[in-house]
Amino acid sequence: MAGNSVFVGLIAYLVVMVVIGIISSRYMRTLDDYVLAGRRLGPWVAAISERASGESAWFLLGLPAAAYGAGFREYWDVIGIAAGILASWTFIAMPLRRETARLGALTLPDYFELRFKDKTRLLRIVSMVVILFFYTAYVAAQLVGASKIFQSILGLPEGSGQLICLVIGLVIVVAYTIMGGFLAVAWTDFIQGLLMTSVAVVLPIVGLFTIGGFSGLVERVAERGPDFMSVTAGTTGSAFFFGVVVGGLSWGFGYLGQPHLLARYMAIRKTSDLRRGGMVAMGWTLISYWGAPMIGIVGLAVLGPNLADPEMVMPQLAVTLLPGWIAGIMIAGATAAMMSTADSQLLVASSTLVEDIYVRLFRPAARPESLVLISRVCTVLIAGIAFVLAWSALNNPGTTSIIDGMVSYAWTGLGASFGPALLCALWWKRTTWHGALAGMFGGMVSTIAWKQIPALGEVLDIKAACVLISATLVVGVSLATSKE
Amino acid sequence: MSTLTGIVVIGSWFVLLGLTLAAYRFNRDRGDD
Repeated sequence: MAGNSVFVGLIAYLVVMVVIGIISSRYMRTLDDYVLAGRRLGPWVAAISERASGESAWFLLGLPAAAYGAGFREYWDVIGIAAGILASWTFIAMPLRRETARLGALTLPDYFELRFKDKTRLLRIVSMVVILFFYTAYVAAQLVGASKIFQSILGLPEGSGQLICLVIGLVIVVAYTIMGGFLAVAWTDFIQGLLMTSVAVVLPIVGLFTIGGFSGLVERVAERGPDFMSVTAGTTGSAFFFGVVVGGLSWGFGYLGQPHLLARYMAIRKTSDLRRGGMVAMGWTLISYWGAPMIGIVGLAVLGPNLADPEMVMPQLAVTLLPGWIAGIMIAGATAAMMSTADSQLLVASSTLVEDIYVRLFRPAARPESLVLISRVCTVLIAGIAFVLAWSALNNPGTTSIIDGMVSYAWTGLGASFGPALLCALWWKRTTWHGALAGMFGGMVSTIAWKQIPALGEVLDIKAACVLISATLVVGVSLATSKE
Repeated sequence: MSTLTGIVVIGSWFVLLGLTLAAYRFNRDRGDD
């Protein structure tokens, strides 16, 4: 692709990430520091970093690719997602921060166990299985995405070239995560979040100027037919409502149960900061998310309809419209989206291993320094497993759909397992241990079932169905077992 | 671009902005520790 100047922009960005890791490492002494940055984050860093880790490779590659193919109907996804983010900051962030601080919970499994005074450890074990199962695949998908981008920039061959790129991505993410822990992750995510916004805003605007404004856009995409420019996508009746509207909006459900995002709420300095944090996060969303599909729509107008890989529409558009080094920074924005997701997920998965298994089940009296060391070892361990998964995925034909598949699978699985149980635990006093356990288990099992049996997906979209099943179980079982 | 598309894409932006401000007020008295 665009050669040296793009490469320079990318390298400069990666160096900054590692430097942040080194600086953050000076502030870290205990497991609380490693896992939650000692609950010292301000509202801006907490909010922007929550958004950056919430949006993975999907945001700058997947969503523009979808809009490149299908046009304005993708705005239903955007609306659902924005509503999900708002609901999460409004109804989960504040009570979760307050309750976890009061109970002394560092992780989501901690919270569930303490909230329901669970002596059996079942809630902890089920949530731990959900986290480790879905996150390993999630991290692997991000590594595959990063490797694809590095490879296309550096112009390396498939096979050995992909392996090198995979290693570069892995080493950088693991390096700053184990050095700086949550503080490093939060600050690198903050920078990555700002970078992602500028990509989503600048690219469509520059593109629109190039093709002569909105009328130029309409003219150029006319060959795709009128459905491209319509939120109905040419459907009517129930196909429109259930297929297009519900399918799009249901992306938002996942936000309520993502442990790597929930960790941001727990880490904020004080609960009143969450109010401002919510405003900042929504401001980010209202700017960035309305821009991201436009990258694909404008990309169609500028680049034409014959891209070999639609997921590369953002990088190609950047290289076409902008000077090399700016394009390099923009493309770094896409790798930023992946890394900011992967680092947070690595941290959640390793904190689950250390805090939820080692400390709570085996060594309650372990020394803080040794826990940080063990956390770092676990981070490397999980990254290693994700690396193996990513490498085997890259060696499979049809890699693109594997990434997409892994992400939407993990997204649904985590959202359905934790979302309804958490919302009820925080807001509904009659929620019982049985109800929470049934909801979590039901969310996980239904996600796996919907994935394995394609016919189910034709009845109702996986994202909506699994959350619905889980919510029904939490409420139903709680009512049945409640003593009141 | 149809009227419906305009309403959904632009209208939803303003609705969500309004809801964000409402959420800010909703949580105003619940913070501070």
